[in-house]
Amino acid sequence: MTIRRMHALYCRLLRHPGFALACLLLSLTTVSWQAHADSVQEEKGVNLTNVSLEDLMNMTVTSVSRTEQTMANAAAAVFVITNEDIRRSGVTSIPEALRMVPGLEVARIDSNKWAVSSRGFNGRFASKMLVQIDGRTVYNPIFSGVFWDAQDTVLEDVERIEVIRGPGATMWGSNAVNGIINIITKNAGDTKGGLLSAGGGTMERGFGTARFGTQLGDSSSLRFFVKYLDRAGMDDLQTGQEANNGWNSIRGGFRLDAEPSSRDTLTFQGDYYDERLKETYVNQPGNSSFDYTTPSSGGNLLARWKRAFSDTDDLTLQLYYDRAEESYAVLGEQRDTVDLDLQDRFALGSLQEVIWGAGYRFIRERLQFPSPTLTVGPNDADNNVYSFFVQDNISLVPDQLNLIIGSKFEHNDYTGFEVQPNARLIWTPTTKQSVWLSVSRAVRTPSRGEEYLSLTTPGPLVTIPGVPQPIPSQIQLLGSTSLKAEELIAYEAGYRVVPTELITIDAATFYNVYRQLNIYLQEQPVPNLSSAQPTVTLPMQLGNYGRAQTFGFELAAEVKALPWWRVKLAYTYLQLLSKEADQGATFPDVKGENPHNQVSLRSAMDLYKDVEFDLWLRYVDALRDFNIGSYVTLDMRLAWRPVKNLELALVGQNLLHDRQQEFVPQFINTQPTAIGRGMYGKATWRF
Amino acid sequence: MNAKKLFIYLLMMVVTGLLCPVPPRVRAESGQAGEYQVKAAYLYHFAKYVEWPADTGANQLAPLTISVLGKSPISGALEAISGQTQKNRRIVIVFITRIEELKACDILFVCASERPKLEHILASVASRPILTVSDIKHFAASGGMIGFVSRQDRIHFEINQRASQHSGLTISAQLLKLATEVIN
Repeated sequence: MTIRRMHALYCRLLRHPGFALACLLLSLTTVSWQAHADSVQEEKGVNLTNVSLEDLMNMTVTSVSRTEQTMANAAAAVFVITNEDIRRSGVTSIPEALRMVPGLEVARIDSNKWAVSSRGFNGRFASKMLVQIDGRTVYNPIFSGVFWDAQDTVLEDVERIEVIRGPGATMWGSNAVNGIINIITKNAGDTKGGLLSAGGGTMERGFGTARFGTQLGDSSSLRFFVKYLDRAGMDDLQTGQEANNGWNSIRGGFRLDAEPSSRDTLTFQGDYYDERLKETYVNQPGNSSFDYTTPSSGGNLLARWKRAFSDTDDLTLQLYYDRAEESYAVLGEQRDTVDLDLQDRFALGSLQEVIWGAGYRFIRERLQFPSPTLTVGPNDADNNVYSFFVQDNISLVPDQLNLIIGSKFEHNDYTGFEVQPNARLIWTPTTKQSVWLSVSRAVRTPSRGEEYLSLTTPGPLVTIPGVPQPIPSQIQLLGSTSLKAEELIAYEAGYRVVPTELITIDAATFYNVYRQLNIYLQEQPVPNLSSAQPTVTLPMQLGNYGRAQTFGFELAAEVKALPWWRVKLAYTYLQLLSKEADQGATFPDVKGENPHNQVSLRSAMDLYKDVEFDLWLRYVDALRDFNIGSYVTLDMRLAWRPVKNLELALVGQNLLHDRQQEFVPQFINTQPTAIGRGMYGKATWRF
Repeated sequence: MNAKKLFIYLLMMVVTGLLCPVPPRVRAESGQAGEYQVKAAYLYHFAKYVEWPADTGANQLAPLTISVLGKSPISGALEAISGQTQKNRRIVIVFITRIEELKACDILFVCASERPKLEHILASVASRPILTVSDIKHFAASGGMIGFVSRQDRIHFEINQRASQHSGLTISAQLLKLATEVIN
């Protein structure tokens, strides 16, 4: 091999993202190895006995591992976004924070719409994932997905966001097919005192939060908050000017936590929000487009009581009420949900831990269809879901090998009775390594939209026999009331290792077999030649015609390269292995709708005294089906604490490109947009 | 891919890796530590600021025994103070899983895992001159002597003076002054 050839090979290699990544990881490991050798002296010699009592009282502590404990024992692909992760990444919303999780695809459609999913099948109305905030499920039964604009809270008071990819523990219900996102806010006892933050910038035009927490009596605490935000729209694809999709929102809420006795904990919380979302609808009948401001509001109240009988036995009862209303130009909805849940955990003998639970959920919906192009069935609908689950964690070899088997049983008004069993095995040969395997069956029940949908959207020009020129068509998507639930059998495995104190690696892989997927079957075109303007209707009938297999790999690594420099890496690989459609149905090109590879690399540096410098580099593969190319982008954050309790931060987002489209509007034709560079400044004062 | 190519690839990776510039080592004033290291250090200090009735007697040279009841990450952090001396007594750490196993002891640390049995534990040691410390919530209000509390990412403590006096211990005024709350 000549020098020239080596050089050429080298340059080609550097362009491959995998190789560049490997080099970065290797160099970080080298650096951390050196630093570790140096600091072994320092760390062991963190002899705090020489620190005076007064100084001990001033030391800030990194709160341990409810996180580490969660992850070390979990027989599933778990990733935890900590409060610190949220703060250092500079994100201003929950979906943006989810970009750092391996296995998730997060794409911003416009300023107030996101497409978020786990392990494939992403879309604005992605439905195969369950999202909960403090135990309250936040999904819309019309399409079994999430309106992400309405899911928000004071991010500084988020304790952690747990993301489990895959069908997860049996404990959550249907629709947790590809993952569960659990947003957990801090206990009111941990947020005593005041927090005031405000800021503004280009995309984050203006925002402010005020929170106050106080002790109530001996054993309770209460916090309440008010939060306002005003966001600019993302840009028009051609002109690069801001398009009409900005929004503003005001939100208030409270949380009360009490410990009436040493065995009981009680939580009572509630929120209310009110938003205005700007939208531009395009491709409407007559080729028109119009602007519209969508009001969206809602509120919820939740109460939870937990009694601990002993270290291993406890009982939890939870009740919540949730109301949401939106008036989109094409759909109006008012929804009331009441949910009652019971969960019991107890030890069976010395080797088994059993958890079982029962739940009832009632959803009442009122719908209005202002546009003739979209109807979703009867205007009023009530829906009841009864569920029961049981799970047994068996210690086959105490502290080393655990077998967890369980199942959830559910009865819903659409498909009747559903069973979702799963079995997991976790082997922990040493405290620093664990291997887990899992097989599960999960179902996704059809949403109301899929049962009753009738959506008409302009189609291409079509030539039909007997008519000389191509005529305009309209595509009519039709739901079906005889839909069965989509089914997934998931085979997963994972490996977790902490090779040194400074490096953590968490890897997971999966093979998913989907059956009875809801896809559209093209039916006979229906020409309408009688009127002056001939058109033809192309009906597409939804049915359980699809089957698919996917395979993926996810990696999360954390390296404490230096005591003041942490690097966190997330890598996602997703491959569609096969897709089949019965009876001539068309399977959308899911391959071209989900990125093959994604990389997220975050660096957090504590410089000098009280200065933080954070970087977040992201790479997302192309979405060929949407003509969206792959992209690399960078967020940067610089923060400074000039005095104790005051933090000033400057954040730059999407810094590497002028304009990048991440996803396309789906089903409902709003204007497609792209995101450009943005910057904001923020001041946070705690008292 | 043959072995030679593979070797060249690996060599290039290593070279690239080692050539990555290391940012200048800026000394950060780290006022940061692990939560349990701080709690372990507190136990070391408490030994100095508390007087046991046996202090004036022949037990002056006996080891200062800290018993840890239950499972907690503090067990690892306590290794740092094991073997150190406070008031000329060598510190010895003992781990127990049930309160009945408690033998000679000066300081008892009750781990959070023992919360449901708290009343029983405190009743068992109430008559003995043992300083009870824990990070269980509302420990001091429940009758424990020193309870750790988290305040804005810092560890502080509350003292139940009546409980300590009842057991024959004297907590120095200095320590009482630093406590966030003193219960009588």
